[in-house]
Amino acid sequence: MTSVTGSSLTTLTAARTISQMRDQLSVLQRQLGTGKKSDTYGGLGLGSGLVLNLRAQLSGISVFQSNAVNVETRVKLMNTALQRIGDLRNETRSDLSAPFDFVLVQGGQSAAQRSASGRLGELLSLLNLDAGGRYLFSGRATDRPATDTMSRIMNGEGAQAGLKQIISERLQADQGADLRGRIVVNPAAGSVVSIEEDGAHPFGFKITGATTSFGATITPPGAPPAALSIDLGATNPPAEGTVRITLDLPDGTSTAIELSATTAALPGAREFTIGATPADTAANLTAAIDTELQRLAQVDLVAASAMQAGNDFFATDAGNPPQRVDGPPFDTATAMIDGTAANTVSWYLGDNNTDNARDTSVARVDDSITVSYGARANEDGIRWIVQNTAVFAAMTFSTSDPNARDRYYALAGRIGSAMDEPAGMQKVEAIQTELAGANVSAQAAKKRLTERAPVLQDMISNVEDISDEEISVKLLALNTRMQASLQVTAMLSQLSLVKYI
Amino acid sequence: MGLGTALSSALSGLRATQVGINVVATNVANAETPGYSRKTLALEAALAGGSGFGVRVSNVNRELDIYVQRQLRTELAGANYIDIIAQVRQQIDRMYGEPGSASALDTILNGFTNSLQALAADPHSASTRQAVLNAAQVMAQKLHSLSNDVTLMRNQAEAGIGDAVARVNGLLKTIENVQTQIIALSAQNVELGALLDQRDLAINELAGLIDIQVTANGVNNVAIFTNSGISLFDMQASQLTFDEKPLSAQSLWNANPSLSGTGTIKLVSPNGFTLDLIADKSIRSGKIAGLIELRDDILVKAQAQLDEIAHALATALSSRTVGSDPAVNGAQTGFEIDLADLQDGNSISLTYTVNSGPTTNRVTIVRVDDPSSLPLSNAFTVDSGDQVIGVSFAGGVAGALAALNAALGPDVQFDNPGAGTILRVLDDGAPNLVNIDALSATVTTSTIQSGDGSLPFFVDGSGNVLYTNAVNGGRQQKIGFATRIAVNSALLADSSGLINIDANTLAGDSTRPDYLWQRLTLANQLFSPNTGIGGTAQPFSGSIVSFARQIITYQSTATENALRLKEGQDVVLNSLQDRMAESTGVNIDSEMARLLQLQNAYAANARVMTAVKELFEMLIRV
Repeated sequence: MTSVTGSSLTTLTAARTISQMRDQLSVLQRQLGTGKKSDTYGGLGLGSGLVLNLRAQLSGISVFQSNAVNVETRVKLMNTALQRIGDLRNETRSDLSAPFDFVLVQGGQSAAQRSASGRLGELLSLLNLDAGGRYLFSGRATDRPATDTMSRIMNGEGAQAGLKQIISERLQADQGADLRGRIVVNPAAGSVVSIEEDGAHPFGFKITGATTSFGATITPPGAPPAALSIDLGATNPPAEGTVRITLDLPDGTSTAIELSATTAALPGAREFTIGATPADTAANLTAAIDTELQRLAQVDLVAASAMQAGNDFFATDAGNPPQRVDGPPFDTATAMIDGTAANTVSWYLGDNNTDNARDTSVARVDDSITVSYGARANEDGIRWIVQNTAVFAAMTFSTSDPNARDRYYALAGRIGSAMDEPAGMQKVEAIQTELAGANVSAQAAKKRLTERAPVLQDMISNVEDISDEEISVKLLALNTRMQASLQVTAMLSQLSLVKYI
Repeated sequence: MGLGTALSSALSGLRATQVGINVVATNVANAETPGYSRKTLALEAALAGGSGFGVRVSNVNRELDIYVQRQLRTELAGANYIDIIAQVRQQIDRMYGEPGSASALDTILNGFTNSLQALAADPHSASTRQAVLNAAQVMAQKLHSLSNDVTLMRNQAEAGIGDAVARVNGLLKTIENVQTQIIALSAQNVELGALLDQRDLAINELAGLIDIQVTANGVNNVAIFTNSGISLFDMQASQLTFDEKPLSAQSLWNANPSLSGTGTIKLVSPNGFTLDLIADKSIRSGKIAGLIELRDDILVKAQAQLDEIAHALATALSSRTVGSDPAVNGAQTGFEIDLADLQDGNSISLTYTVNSGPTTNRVTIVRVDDPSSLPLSNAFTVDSGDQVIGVSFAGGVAGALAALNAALGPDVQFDNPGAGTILRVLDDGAPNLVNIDALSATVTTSTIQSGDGSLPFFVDGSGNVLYTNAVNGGRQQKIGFATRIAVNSALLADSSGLINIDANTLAGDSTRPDYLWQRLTLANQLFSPNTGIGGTAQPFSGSIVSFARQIITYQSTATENALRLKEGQDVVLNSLQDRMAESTGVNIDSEMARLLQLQNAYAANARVMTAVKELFEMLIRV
């Protein structure tokens, strides 16, 4: 502030108005150049609060949109993988629709098994899918692949057992040392035939009951270890009379010893000879049961044991480590124990928690909307397909083994029907549906935000921007005023008496 | 009456016109001189023995409108005051960046929160983690640079006060000197216009620096007071002193000179009387008042706003609540809480009901280990309805019991069962005068793998000092924190801390980034009214992001208001200056017209002399 008292009026006003107009001109010039009303928040006046708020929303929108794009990309990739996993399951199922074709092509395996082996490899590589370094089927452990290598899963490595070893140990435990499926066949006592389990344990056959067509007296099995006796009574069974003993298998399926009485001195397969007395018949029946039990222990029991071993090895999470037969010796084992990282390969390497797999990846797509789109390879729907494909691929057969064909049929039948998930089990399609649902809400949020962004931008523009037309008009008006003012000032300065005297 | 008389009358006429031309010449020469007031010639008929004896210059008048002059001085103070404030307000406004530009504070804060959101969507990506750390560092640096700007402006204001005080002293000395000469010369009946102009010019400049009142003190003499009535000049000039100091963000003015971090203005009167003009609030307008307001209020608030953001950023991400368990001791019931994690500066909230009212009392117990900072005032917390008790926990919970019981006993009782870190708060039992309603503590997480979302993301300074808003030497850690806030160097060294809440956290776990994002954008907290935003009774409540927006709006609105005030003030000042120029300024045209008149008068007088001369010659020839 300079004191201007005493300066002459014309100079004073002229200087002031012209410098004010110059200032206005430079403001208009800046506005014309930038298209912005002001280069500070202060210049926006009351609009500044609004603009700040809108800008914060707008910048939030961009990150939410990019989250939604990420969700879309990832869900698409996951969906492609899951679709293929479902297809692989369907291929195995159609390979294994009866009648089965027992022709070993290579390494003691059928063509269907070789295909299953190939499919297992594909399944594992689908599950190890990553999107830009982020593994999509590892739950929260997005930094590591979901599954171990096929070779380690099947064959183990060093001290760590793989699936094949688990199957073999389980088979020993299920068959028992005498290969009778942990059942003791007692010698006939008079007219009484009896069998019993060799202990209370989860292995081998479980006797569930018996029926006869001729009304023999049956003592049904009680608490484990179960025992069963059939008393033929005082009279021999009639020819063609049947005895049926039902047995449960380790995988939850059941089978039966079905024998029929014959008068022939040399009984055929699954027949017993009616002897002179019920005691003789009982001895014959006992021998027939023993033979059939040994045959079933080589056929159904092997398949069921392998199926269960697959479950022991694959159905794992944080609370459920892989299950091993407590041994050696395995053939007399009476319990399962938890496998450890040191002695068992863990097929699944990802996030092992037991919370909802979807919640392992959560993306915020709006201030208050989150979508869950995570997945774990050990979810039932995925694990079940991997497990059964692997079990089928792990088994080998020999043409020289007379039971090999039946055993193969037992296994193939089980694998084939397993490819239709049991009732109540999650299907891979259910995972796809859930992911698609997450993606739909992410895309809906994105669409909403995308529509909102230009509105916000517009509102910001309304406060911040200035139209070229408006500036042009202002410039024009200012120009006229400045010219006039300068001209008048010039004229006034000429209009001095000094000039005329 | 003879020819001689006529001759001498004509001669006096010539003399008077010469003086007149001299006045016109001086006026024209000084037409653009600041402070110059137009002079006019006053003539009177010279009388000798009752008859005219020519013309006499009675006086050279100084054209001055006293009323306009007084108004102008008042408005000069106001104009200078608002001018300096508007100028600095614009600087502050500019400091927050161009709307929407990458360097604007809101853009940077939005960038930080967005980076956390992006991390929540992609927790294990190393580049996303790095982006969060970069954004946090940019945020910290922005706060540093903003508070450095504020400190710089405060130092400029401090220096400005120093310069202005020196100028005031110079002006007062000038006024004293000129006034002394005026008094000495007025006795000799000498033309005083130039000296009076000089004195008034100095007074006008002084009026721009301090709001003053000028009173006439006899003929041609003035006395100068501040508007608050302090004498600055009365024959002798008082002097001002100013102990200019270098300011940091923590330097605040205090009436007690030993505690004051800034300079203060003292008046020393000629008789040795001294007065602190800032403590006395004697300077109410003018440039100096503007500078003081900037230094001690506007810029202090701007700093407090930045400190509040830094404080809120650090505490929102690092604090967590510790709950309590019900406790019983005989008939007494209450709660017990584990204070193992209570840091210096952390607080415990206690609510109890006095049943006679019933009235509910809220108590905030703040851990203050520095005894010199105690006791705390109730204004220590933002919450206006609570009682604040500062207690040292330097001797553990056991060491704090005496102070706690002294503050709230005997109906509310504190003890330390098991002598560990457990604090138990019990009511009075059977008399049932008081019930304990709730007890919790807010503590600062000190480790990165804390087991939950909170972590010491921001720390105090590069030495990784934990920020807990501890009080030391009566000063909160918060003050000036915006100049020191830094990203925890352990995080910078290992970005996995952004994800790993404990040793078993999986790489894709978004718990922590989402927690941090929510703390910044969704969680509401109260903000200190010291910032000028929100009131004491109802403090501003909102998220950090909304508070940051509020700051920018506050400053931009204040700038806008200051500019509008300045425009209004300028209009008033300009019109007064115009009126002043009209009444006291030199108008060349009228000076020229006068010159013509004088020329004519001169010619006429000369003609008279010629005529007298001819008459004398005729007489001699006769």
